Amino acid sequence: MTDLIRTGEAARLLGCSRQHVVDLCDEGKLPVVRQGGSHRYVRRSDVLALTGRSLTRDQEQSRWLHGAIVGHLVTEPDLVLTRARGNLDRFSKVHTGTMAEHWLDLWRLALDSGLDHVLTVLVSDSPQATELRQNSPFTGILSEDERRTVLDSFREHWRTEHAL
Amino acid sequence: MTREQFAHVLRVVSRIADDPDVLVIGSQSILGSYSEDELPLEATGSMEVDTTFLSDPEDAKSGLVDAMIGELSSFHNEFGYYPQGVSIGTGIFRQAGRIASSYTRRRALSPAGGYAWSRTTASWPSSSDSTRRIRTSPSRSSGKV
Repeated sequence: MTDLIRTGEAARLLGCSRQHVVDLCDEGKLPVVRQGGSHRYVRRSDVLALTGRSLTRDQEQSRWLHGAIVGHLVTEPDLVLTRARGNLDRFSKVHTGTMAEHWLDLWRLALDSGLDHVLTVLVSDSPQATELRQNSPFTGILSEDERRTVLDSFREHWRTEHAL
Repeated sequence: MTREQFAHVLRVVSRIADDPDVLVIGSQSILGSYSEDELPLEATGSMEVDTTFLSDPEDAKSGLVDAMIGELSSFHNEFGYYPQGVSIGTGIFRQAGRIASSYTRRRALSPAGGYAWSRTTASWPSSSDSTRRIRTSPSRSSGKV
């Protein structure tokens, strides 16, 4: 499953009117995932696909942070995976009965699929990998200094290469 | 994410940024008005809350939030959820004056009472006075940051 948003939020992401989003839905160009009362829900990833943007700034920043995790994973795979599994157990208790629990379950499947698959999820720009990273169990691996260095590097990268 | 976790994140974000007005963007903002028990599963979103500020020159506050308690931070590690500092300059608010179909403007805990104020509105600047006062249960959040 993916993050569902209402047509109003989709309109903001697209920079258009809500009515135009409704028209896109009616024309089948933007799939309506669920309809409740007077509200329609669409996938954020479908909306972003229409904008031609692959990742938002926060999604890209998340990918950079997880790129730094990759460095640790390939040098100390057992340590990193053991920590991630421990975090999955802890976080699952925190998020019982919410959507985050669903993403944590998917992480568990990813970890069970082997190291190569985990490496792919950590840096892939697919919608599912993007959602997974925003519900990450890879905490306690980067030091605070390392993490802030990545954030500083990313900020400079975004300023120079993605300036509006 | 639950409403209690949501309130915890906003209190810490407010304290770090030294700003009582925290703007929550996106689907999690609905937790400012409803508890997770009143919402469908999809509305409980993820372990992340997108936050920003009405006044944030150079995105300094959002950057500080990311650096201190953002994704993969020790805060995230300890609690299992975190805020994402969103830059207002990244295009979220392209339609100046009409920025949000749903957002939560929330004062962090008052010094005396352990209450928070949540406001949702159809546009910005605010066109609605649908302010709600909600209790954030100080006893349940004791021991947290």
